[in-house]
Amino acid sequence: MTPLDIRRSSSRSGAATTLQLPDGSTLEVRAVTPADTKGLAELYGSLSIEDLHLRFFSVYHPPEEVLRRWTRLEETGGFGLVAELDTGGGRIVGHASYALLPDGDGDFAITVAPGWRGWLGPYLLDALAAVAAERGVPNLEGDILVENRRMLSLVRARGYATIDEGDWTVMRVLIGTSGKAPTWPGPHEGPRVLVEAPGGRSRMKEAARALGMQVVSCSGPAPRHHNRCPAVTGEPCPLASGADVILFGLSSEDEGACELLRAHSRLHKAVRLCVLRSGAEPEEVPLPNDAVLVDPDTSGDDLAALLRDVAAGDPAEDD
Amino acid sequence: MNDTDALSLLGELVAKIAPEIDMTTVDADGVIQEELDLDSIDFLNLVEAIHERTGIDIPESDYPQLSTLNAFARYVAART
Repeated sequence: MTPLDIRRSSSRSGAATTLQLPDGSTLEVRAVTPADTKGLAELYGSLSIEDLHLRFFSVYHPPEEVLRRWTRLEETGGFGLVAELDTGGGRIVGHASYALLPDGDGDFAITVAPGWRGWLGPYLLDALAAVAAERGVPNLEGDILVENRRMLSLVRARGYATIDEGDWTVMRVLIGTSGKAPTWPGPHEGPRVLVEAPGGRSRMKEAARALGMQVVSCSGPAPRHHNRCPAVTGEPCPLASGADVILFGLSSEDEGACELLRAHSRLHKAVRLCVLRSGAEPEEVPLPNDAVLVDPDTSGDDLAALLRDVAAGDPAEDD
Repeated sequence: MNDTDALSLLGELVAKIAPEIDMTTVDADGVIQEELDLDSIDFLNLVEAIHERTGIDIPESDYPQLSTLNAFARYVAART
């Protein structure tokens, strides 16, 4: 048996971890420094056109000044990690970083060299999230092309929410740096609406945002990743408990939907629920008395206005 | 579960996740992503499938210990 030898040491920029891998190679995961600019250039230079497109949404080759800036993100509140094969001038096979956003979250990105895609990406994302959590950064946000299945699998495994879908070719996702679920990003004056629907989809989002509401979407307990949903494991969900209103659009056929609806009644009593009638059947799951049943054919504008009124505490009629 | 049982279970699960792989030609001491051509999607599916079959919840910080099939099997065997 080859034991995994992990040595952790402190550096000025955070913890460094040396991994003696079972195949005999050594990988050091540490804070990026300006001396890594050349190694980063080699890493990004090794990417295929498809990789570059998934990472940058275009065939972009980051110039040296950009790479150098990525090595100095700490100066502006961000952080970067590299995974270096065989310490001391070795090859950089992974790079994960975040830049600090005005809302206090980190804007993150991860790049893993071809041939190292497997465990290293999830490992680096976890390590980056741990550093961010230590530094008081509650969430990591990132834009992901919907065709980037590798990246989506990483955030799905951690439990993610969607902030914005734009034109549905790019998703802006949110993952928590501590705990199972993200928190609401930044301060916001308007009502907060949590949408729980398959794929996080709802026709009311644009209308709700136009009315000044902050909308975050969740697909509910992900198949095979139930343990990442705090509510179904008995803990309050920071997104649900921080919402002014929850629009529940999961069907009783969606995995974990009924458990989630029961959890809302138990864990998030103070938050008003609007349940699309196509969602989990009320006969199967008792709803709170102040829950509002909504016709699924309600237009986006009408639904947004209803949510605004419910969030404001106005009584809403069961239509 | 001993190492052999765990390796057999991994082979069974890999065959479901990536049925195109010929497990008889795989070097169990080789790096998983090279030997099995598993990317992060397949790897995470394998970790989740192990969880479903054995109940083991593997934290991301332990992923380096799963970088070869034999090492992965030893990890699983030690926890079942």
